[in-house]
Amino acid sequence: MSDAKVIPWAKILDALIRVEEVSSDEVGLLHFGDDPRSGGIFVEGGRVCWAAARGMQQRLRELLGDGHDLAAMNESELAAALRRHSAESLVELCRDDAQPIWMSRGGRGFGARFTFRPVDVFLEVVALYAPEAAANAARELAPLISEERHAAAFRFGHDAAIPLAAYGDFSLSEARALGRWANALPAATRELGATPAFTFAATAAGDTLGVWWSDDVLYAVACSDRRSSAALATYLTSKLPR
Amino acid sequence: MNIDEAVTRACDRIPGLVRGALVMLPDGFLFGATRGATFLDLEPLIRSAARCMALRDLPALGGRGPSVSVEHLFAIHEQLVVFEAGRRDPKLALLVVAEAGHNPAFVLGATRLALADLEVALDLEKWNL
Repeated sequence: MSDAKVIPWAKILDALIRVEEVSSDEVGLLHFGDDPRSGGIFVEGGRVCWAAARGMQQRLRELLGDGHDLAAMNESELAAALRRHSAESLVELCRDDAQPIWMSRGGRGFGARFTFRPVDVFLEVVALYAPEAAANAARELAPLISEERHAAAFRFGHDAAIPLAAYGDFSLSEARALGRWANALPAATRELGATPAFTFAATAAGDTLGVWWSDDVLYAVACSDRRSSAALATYLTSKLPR
Repeated sequence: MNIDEAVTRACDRIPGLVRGALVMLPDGFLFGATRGATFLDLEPLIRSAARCMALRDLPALGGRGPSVSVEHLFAIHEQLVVFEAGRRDPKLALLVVAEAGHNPAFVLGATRLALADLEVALDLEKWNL
């Protein structure tokens, strides 16, 4: 990712995984550093209500259509604007060394109109700051997306598995664990003298994880039955150089 | 029938078979191998299989519980490499190298059947398996 040097990917990932760990009946603010007034991530039940950083107010006005009638925005436009603002704010919140600190509101909810899965906020950051990588990953995975599968793509930096794309119902912490596991597979076969073009691991019940590299991106697809994994095997075999 | 013959016969059904070996992991003890397989051929295969044993705990996705892998397949160069763990005892493993032109799903399925045959045919109890 050409802008990887300026985006604190690992810290953003850690912060959003911390959000996921908030229990379903808990509400509060994950702020960075000692002063909660500098902003933070407003969290309810493990979901992001909003993330806001000091100095980002004007940006929110821009995204909401500065001067335009808010009532004229439809639900999806409003949600998209808030999610984008949250993503941009999150990058600012994570830029320095301040560590996240949880401040509970007890059970008093924010009454948020929208909440977002942490994984969706992270992918919003990716779409904003690594759009080409995100688009390439989406294109690689597009033929494989189905209800029986989970799929994700990762780049690696500073030993962190950074998700570029994720499909299916799984959390950011699960995605990170998947990336770390998948990245260990080629090292397990170094005695065989080469990095595998692709690998499969399967359980006795037929759940399968397929892993492959394309350029410097690692892809992982999980299939829940043998028919789906056989189709994945056929697809990956077709990509092998003749 | 000695174990080498049993392994050769069981692996005969695997499409594109290059070599196969029945081993105990992670020790790397070799029970038997297909005709013509040398220890020089098998040694990197056995070491790699032992490493893969450490990755048998699969990441849980979608809130599902943890699971354990029983087989690994790798497409490397012009070959498919399969590590198949025993269903009776996961320390037992059938390691197979096959030519890459064959359908990986077929190679996996045939390897599963080969190992199942070996688990039935061999007296594994004398090795505490």
